[in-house]
Amino acid sequence: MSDNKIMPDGAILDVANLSVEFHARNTVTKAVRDVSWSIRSGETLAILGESGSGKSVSASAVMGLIDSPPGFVTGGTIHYRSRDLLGMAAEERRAISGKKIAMIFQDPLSHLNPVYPIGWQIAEVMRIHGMEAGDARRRALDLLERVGIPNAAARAGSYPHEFSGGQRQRVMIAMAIALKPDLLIADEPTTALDVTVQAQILRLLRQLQKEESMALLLITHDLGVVAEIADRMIVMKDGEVVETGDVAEVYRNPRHAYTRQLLAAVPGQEPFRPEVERSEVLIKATALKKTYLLSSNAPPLNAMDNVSFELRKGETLGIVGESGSGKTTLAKTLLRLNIPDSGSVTYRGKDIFSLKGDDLFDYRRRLQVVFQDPTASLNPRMSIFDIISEPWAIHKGVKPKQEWAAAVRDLLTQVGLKPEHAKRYPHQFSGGQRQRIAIARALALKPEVILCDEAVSALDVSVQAQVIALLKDLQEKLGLSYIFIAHDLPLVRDFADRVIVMRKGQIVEQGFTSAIFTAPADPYTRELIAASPEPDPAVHRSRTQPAANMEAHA
Amino acid sequence: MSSKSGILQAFAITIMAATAPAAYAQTASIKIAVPVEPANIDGCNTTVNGINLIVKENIVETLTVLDPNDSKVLPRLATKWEDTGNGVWRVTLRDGVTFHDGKPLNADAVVKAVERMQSTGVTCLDRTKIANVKLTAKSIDDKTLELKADPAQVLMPVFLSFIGVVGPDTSPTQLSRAPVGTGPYQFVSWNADGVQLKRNDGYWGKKPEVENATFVFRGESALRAAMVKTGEADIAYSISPQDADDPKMDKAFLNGETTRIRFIMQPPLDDIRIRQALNLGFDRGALVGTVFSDEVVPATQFILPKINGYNPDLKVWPYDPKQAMKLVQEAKTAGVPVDRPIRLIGRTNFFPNQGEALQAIQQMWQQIGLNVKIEMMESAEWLKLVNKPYPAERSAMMIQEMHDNNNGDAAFTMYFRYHSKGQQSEMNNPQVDGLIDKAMAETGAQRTKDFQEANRIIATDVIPAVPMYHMVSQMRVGPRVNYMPNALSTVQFELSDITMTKK
Amino acid sequence: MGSYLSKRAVWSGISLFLLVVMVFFMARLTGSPADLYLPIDAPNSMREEFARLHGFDQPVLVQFFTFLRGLVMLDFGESLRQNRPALALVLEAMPTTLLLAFYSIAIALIVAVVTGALAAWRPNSIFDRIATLLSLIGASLPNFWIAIVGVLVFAVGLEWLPTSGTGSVAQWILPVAVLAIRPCGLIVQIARSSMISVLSAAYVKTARAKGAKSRRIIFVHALRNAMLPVITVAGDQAAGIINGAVIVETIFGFPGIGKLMIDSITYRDFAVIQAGVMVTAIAIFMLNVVIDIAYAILDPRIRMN
Repeated sequence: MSDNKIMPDGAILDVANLSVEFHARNTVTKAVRDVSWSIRSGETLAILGESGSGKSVSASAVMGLIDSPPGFVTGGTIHYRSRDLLGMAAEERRAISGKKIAMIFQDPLSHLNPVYPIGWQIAEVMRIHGMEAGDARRRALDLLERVGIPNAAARAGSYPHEFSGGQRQRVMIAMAIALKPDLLIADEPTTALDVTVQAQILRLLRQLQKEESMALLLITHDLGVVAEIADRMIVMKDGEVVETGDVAEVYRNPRHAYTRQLLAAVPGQEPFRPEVERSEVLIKATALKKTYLLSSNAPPLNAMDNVSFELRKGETLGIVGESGSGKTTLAKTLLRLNIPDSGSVTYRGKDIFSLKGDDLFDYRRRLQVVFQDPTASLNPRMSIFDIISEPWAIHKGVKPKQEWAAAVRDLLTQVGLKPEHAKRYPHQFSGGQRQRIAIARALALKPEVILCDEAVSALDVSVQAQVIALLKDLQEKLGLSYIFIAHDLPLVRDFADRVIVMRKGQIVEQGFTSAIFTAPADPYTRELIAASPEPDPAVHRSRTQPAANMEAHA
Repeated sequence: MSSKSGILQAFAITIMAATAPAAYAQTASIKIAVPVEPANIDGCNTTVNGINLIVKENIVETLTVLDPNDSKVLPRLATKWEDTGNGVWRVTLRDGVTFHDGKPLNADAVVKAVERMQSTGVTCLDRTKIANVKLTAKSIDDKTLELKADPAQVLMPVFLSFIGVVGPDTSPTQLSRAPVGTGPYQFVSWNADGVQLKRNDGYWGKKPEVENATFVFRGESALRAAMVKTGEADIAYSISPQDADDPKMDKAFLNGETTRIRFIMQPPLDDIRIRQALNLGFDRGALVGTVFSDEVVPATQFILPKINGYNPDLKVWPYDPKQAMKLVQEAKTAGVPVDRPIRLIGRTNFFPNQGEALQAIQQMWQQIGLNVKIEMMESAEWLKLVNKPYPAERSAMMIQEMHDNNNGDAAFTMYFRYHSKGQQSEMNNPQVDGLIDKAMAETGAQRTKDFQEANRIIATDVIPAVPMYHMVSQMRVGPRVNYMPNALSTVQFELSDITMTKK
Repeated sequence: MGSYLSKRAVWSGISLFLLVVMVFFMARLTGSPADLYLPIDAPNSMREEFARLHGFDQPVLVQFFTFLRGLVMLDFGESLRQNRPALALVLEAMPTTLLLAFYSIAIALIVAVVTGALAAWRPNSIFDRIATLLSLIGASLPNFWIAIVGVLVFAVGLEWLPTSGTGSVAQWILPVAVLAIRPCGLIVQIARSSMISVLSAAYVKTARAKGAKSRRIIFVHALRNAMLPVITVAGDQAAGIINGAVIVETIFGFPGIGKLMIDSITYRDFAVIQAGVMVTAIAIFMLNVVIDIAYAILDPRIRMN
């Protein structure tokens, strides 16, 4: 491997013709194919791609985190300041990891060791690279304060599970910048976080980068995030780089078809839905309350606090809230999986909690659900035919058995799949396809209302767009009504007729979508809107900073 | 003393002290590995398995002992005994005997021991040997006492061999774990390492060679055998046949036990043809030298030849499967329910390889056309079946049994097993009852003849069981010692019979 | 912590009591054990006398109340076999078994955890395959066979070790080794699979990204997280040994609780059975508390709930 390479101008990391393969039992997957890019000191480079694009694998290759077997680097070089990382001895490489090149990951809870205090874990990276334990501990406290964890001295002895998601990511960032690395790799650092928290973390990264003149390699699938903080970007698809360039340039003039496709798939680009007053009330929730007592010491948790709303026939009602807002509890209540402490829910005038026998069965037929995780909601041991026809097996009498095969074929075609897919099993399909199957299953009983509980949140952007398009299409054709639960606003912007914003169990605002977006009344709604990264670099250049009262509680 | 001889004396003592450790190393200390740790080692339990080998004639001596070969009554602590009539016997004690605690052996001490044995304050198991007899003892003088048996006992001299003379200070309410007696060895300690005995240098009799003996307890036969092989023990008391693989060290001997399979006389076993067939269909020779040691002896009756009352004219059942099948057929034609399943009850841990033996026998009986099923029971359940009062509903079954009579006379077997009032008897035969009652009151040749006749009737006319074998035990004796087990070794293990090999 | 322990103690106390009551009645259902203590030719008068002496002629409920009265003063009655207080017998036997259990589990744990951790580091390597094979053999071999073979090979054949007895350290080597083999085999398996799953955890990736060496990753980061299921299995095995390493105790002549219990059950020595059950149950209770404390030390998430 070649050392002493001349680095292209100002670059501290240069990846040239990198190829990575993964060997499974019979198959070889070329995850990264002949990929080249470089990053300069102090700049932010974003690698944008969907799942399977090879973006995370590239980053892992830089850090030396690819397990071989099953993964193998089959070609190319990665030069860090003229030395090829791939050709280095293990010990040399370890000396660089954590010290010169550091990495933070997507889900901070699972990436922090649950049995050691965070102060210890932060100090560890310094101890590994030779610092004295006492010095390391002191510096760890400084770092905690620097990343915005208040009361650092007291909290250094706490464990990861005692912090919120955003705080944990701050801890990981502290760990990563402890030794002032030249390059920080951030692999989807905000994907698992709430929108408002995401904004704070991105701001923090930007700040740190400027102060330490650190290069930042950002891996993400979110065009808004790229637009917010990246200087340059590369777009990857199926292991190859399809486009590179300055962020502003790429957004303005995307050259590759895929880039254009991605940009087009960003949700919320179509106009608002018209503000139509519909008459028929299907679901009416009145003053729902649910409180959970966690333990004898903690104050009771208000999961739902005086929640009232209506769903009318033919409309899409969006319910938006971050974690802890109560939207999940609300969904479970509507599905009768949860009994509220007080308040009522009626369906076409009948109280759903006093339904019994046939009436209850009838209610269940009319209200169907599509869940967030398409892998978990389909039984891996059942064929697609079994899955889609199961509702008819449960609700006997709705459809005679002879008609099932034909009906399943119809449903599959309706959701954009092929009839012969009925014989296959869930693991043979992609995430988006599985969600379509879940939708087909939901349609089987010809419901009136479909509850979509974060139904597209786990999908890639382009797939998201397709599924939402499908939902819109079905709504028109079949006269469906949707309750669409999401954790950020852009998703519902062009899909919902009316929107409810929830926070800490309460409804802070509800109304027509256009009104909510154009003239938000409640400060929290405004905060939410501001925090959602706009996929337009120009907007970010001009937008003022959000209100400074967003502290690092999250 | 002049200083010179004083110095000489001191010098001599120093030499002796210096050589003492070397001398100690050559003291005769032996270790014996036995299977079961006893619950106690009280001198009034000298007839109990596990206790007898440690206590009997080692620590605590009895008034008389039996000759291992012909069961003749020999003097031990008593030198003379005579029947003075009315059930009273006058017993003379040996002179010059002291207990380990220094107290002298006199008539009072013996009286006290006899009373203790029969009192209800302690559960003395030796009492079962004189079960339905009340013994009263009275001192006449220092060395003479009178023993009255009610009812009068012809076998009083044999009874004297059950009376262990414990020290007069032995607790009357608690079974002892540190017995005091007159024997050649005295008790030293009982701890996690076993029971330690040391030679009693004040013993009245011949001084034994072994100075210190330790009994250690190891439940597993292979381990006992291994201990002798490695030299950790000198004698492995009782090892199973498969572990007895060293002809130089392993000694087999008849141990006084006889095995048999008792019939419960329910159909089809109530038909004598079936009982005959079962005896004819059992190939006794096949198990000798295979499942059992080749020293076992097929039995004709439930007592050994050395026991008074043994009938030497009885023959071992021949192996004649054809005749057996014929008898079964005959019975079947006569309407006997030969197809009914017969339970063969075995007791777990009775003797080595019993499981295999029972299975072999069962197969032999299947071949002659009988439906025999084996059932293993543990001791508590088995005991419920073999003792009166019997359970109300007993179906056709055969029960494996083993019996030892080392007391020289058939009386200790015949009544319990064959008299209609006997506790383990299945019989109700007036002729046999009469003979037994008569014999038990007689002495001499007439007694012997009557018992022999009873045995004849039982073996040929009644057939209450399938006699199996006179059983054999194996002992492993290491190279440091010499010991030849005799017919009484399983109930009386005299350390004084052990000698050290000369180097 | 204090309230947690006292709550556990109360609940365990109730279970203990119910257990002893159950054993009491179940044992009595087998009838008078007189037959087991008297020679077979003992007359009925002796059997009745035996029953009377020990209270077996009384109705079961009366026996029960007598027992309860004694229980309050921790008097379980006298052993039928030895006429000594049953509790004394049990307390004499217990330390031997506890020591056996302690040494075997300690050795098994240390050997197995290190082996399992190293095997997990390179799955399917030669070391891993050999370790897995040996652990499976160890976990499957019957105690009895290992003990006898051990004696034959090491004591009789090579003459390196004594055959049996409790006095010297050398005499403890074989029994502890025999008792440790099965737990060691099982724990290697658990440790290995637990480590494999922990080593693929996300925080191990973080540690690697921090530049940690493999030794730190295995023994600092992964091991503590992998220990929870290992502790569970080890605790279960320890309980098994406490309950009675009967075979090892019998073969090697260790006067422990296992041998005492088997003998007491065979001889229907009720007082000892009850005392033994009680003391063993208390020992297991303490063991469970120790395990709970171990959990809490290992995993702060458990500590805080």
